[in-house]
Amino acid sequence: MRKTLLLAGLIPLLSGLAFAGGLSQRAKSFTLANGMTFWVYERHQIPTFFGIYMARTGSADERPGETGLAHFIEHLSKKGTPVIGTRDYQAELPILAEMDRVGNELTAELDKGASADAARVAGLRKELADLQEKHARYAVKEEYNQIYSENGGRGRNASTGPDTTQYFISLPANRLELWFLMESEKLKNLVMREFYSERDVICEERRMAVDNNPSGDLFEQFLNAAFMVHPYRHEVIGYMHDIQTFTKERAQGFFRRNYVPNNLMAALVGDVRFDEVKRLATKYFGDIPRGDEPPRMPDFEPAQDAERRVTVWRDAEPELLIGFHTPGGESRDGLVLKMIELVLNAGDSARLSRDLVTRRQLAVSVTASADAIGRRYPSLFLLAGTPRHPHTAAELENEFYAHLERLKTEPVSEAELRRAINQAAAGLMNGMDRNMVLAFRILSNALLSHDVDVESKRVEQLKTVTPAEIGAVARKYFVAANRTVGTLERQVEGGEK
Amino acid sequence: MKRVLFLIPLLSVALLAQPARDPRVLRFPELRFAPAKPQTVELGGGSQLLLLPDHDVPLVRAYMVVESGSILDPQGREGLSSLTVRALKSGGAGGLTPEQVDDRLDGLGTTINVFPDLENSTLSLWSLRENFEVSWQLLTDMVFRPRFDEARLDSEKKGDLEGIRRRWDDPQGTAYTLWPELLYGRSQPEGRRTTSASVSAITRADLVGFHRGSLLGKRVMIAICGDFDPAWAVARVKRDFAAWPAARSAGPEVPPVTLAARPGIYLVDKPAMTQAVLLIGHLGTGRLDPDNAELSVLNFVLGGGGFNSRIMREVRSHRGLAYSAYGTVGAGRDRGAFTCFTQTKTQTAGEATRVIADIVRALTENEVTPGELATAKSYEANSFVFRFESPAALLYQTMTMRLQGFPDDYFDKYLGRIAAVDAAKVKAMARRVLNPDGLVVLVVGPKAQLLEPLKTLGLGEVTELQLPRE
Repeated sequence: MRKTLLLAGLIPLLSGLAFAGGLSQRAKSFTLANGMTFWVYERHQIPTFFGIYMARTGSADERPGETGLAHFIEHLSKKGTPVIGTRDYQAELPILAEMDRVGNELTAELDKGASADAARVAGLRKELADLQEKHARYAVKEEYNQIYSENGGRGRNASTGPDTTQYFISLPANRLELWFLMESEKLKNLVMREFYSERDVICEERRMAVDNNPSGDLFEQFLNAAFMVHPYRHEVIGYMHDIQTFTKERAQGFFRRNYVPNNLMAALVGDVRFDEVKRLATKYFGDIPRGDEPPRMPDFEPAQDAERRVTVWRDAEPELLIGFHTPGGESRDGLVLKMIELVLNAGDSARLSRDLVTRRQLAVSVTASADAIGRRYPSLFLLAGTPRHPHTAAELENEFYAHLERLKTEPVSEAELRRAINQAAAGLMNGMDRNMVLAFRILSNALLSHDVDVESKRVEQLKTVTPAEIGAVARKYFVAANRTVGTLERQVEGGEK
Repeated sequence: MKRVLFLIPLLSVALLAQPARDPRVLRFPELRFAPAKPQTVELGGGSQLLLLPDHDVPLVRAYMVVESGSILDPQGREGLSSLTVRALKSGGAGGLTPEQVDDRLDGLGTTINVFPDLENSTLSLWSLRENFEVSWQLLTDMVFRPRFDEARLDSEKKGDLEGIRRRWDDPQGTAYTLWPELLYGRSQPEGRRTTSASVSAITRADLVGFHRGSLLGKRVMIAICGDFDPAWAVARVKRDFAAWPAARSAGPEVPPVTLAARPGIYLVDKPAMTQAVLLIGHLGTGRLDPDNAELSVLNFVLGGGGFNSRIMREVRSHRGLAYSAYGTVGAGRDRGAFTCFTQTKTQTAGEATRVIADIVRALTENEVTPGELATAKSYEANSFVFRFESPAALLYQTMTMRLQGFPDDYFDKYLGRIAAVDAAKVKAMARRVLNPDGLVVLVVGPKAQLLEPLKTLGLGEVTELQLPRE
């Protein structure tokens, strides 16, 4: 029957999907008295588990002058405790204190900007390097990682985004208690060792990901233009001067304000038992006191009412970004924009790729994303494309606009809507057999949308979006005065084409 | 001293004063597990079907790994195997045009991906249980009844040509494109790459010929895991692959690999960069090297063990010279690549190169420390379970290892072999696979600032490489 329908070219809506009711069918949670919530999803096929905790803190919580701080905290978090990462903690202390004194002087000098004394900066850097050598006698480098590795830990990592910061690892199932001890100690007894060399590491990370990477460079310039005030305007890594001048006091203040249990959420997925997770969570995290709610930035981005354009000239072929401000959150408009994203972008049959890449070959890649920057604050609907020579970014830009105009004027067909809904529905099963993917889905739903089932509910809501609504939303947001256009162009003599 | 004491409260960012707990006091119960053994069905000529049902979630994953890859590309047609494999999916299949295939897949919520590679080409399928049978039909139509639509081929070729145009845009991409040429030379399969001329020359007839002569009938491994009916799968796959011609051997005799470039420093000038991309190494070893347990430990200590490795500790943690730093001796078809990577600001490019070269030399002169050996061996033993972490991972590993000629009891014996590794054996392995006097160094960065510091490293002559228009 199904086959007959398919051959007739009809697309039945997927039905009877397991987990259509949402992840809460199997993901269970508890919240400690201090406000920290733990999610547990039991899968017992293989004796391993994935452990993660996520802070509702990211680069969107940084103020001007301290960009990159959330990411820096992520780097510092593996530097150990009074008993991890040291041969003699007491002997380390005076050296660390001396390093902070020199580090603060260096920051003060660098903060003078153009009038900073280059010789003094060099002298202070040398002093720091010497102290670092002295400290190395007492430090056990990367011992935090070493302990995890010796216990079979895989994929230990952390990441920082505009909205959240997360710390994660996979471990053999018999090492559950190790995860609880290691992760809670990080919160309770973190020692920010190697602070200044880690600052240098991040400078190199920035040079690699942004300054010497044409696409990274374009994206930073684009964000800076699209947002005037809101911290979504800066790249997670931060600006070079800010990175070079973080002080330990500032880092500790940021850490204390944001890494409170009521701002954290954890997930354990795999061969774990709910009761055992609860017992260990209480034992290791239960004695961390609840903190004040971290300070939050208001959404003070002024409404955009003029087109903004930014052109980045590099020794590279062209790329194109177009962003439209959108309301974000779980609004009806946001839902319709999600449907527009699916119609434009989901799969090889979607409009952008079929028209621009496959049929007319104007581009080698095109994408659309309804919440490209973040989910905690109003975001951007982002169109991105890589034109194919001899076609230019300007040509591709016009083609994108033609597709947006079509959305405004011509009802989207029933077949396209069904394909879009089916793809979203199948997406609910994405990673259901992977501990890591499941854990990320659970936490981003629960922490950012306050509902672990939000994805399945969204699929149900998508079924109610009408072609008329799509037209209305397209006409409302996809207007010239609400857009920012960023292009990467090849550098030629004189810096312009 | 008083000032120091005063500062102590600032040093630990404890949320409240609590005694620090030491993880090394924890004791763990033994981990009991027996890796699942997939059911194997012989399909003839060394081809096999592997099955591993798991009904936890209503999903099915299937893989087809064919012993066919770019190693079989004819001279002057570099890129043919990749285009052929991609066109299986994109060029229409059975009774369906390319766009009908795309519509069908997206309507079903099924994902089919293709992964062309040097020796093997893989097709993967992800589908909801309820759509598996119809998705499998699509996959077999692609493999047995591809249409190789002309317009789609044109579109794929134009994508490849644009990729070639953009080849030198990104500094890391530039380095990793040139590196195989330096190690293997352009005549070895590992060192060959596409050019505008080779891609432009490829026609639909070439694809049809490659499909018939170099893909169909090669040894193939098929694997299915997830929520499916094994009896149905065995009957269906046997029926489908009855049409697969008798398996033939992998392909042409390729002469043994020798290091193509003279040891020394090769510099690509990118005047606007503020960093240098560094690749340091030479040829590696063969994947069936009998001492590959020693190799695993050596690689972990050298630069493969993440933050536990010497390269990461020295270049990043200790000196703050780079964000990314790693290196391993690869095990390949004949000889893999020994590659160390880092990317550091221009001013410290010489220092970073020196640090890595010294680490390579030290491993050939001194034994690894007892602590390093213990960490590497514990890691191998305790993370062993992750080799079997998911049915898909287990199956994929089994398929590729069987194609590559590993014995079926390889992992049964592996931990015993790791346990027997000692510092003397690691050093002997280092002396065999590392040649600190024969390093090839590739640097991408601004010549004006790099040339003089590189000349003084004592790592050989500096030769400038011009980026070809290709």
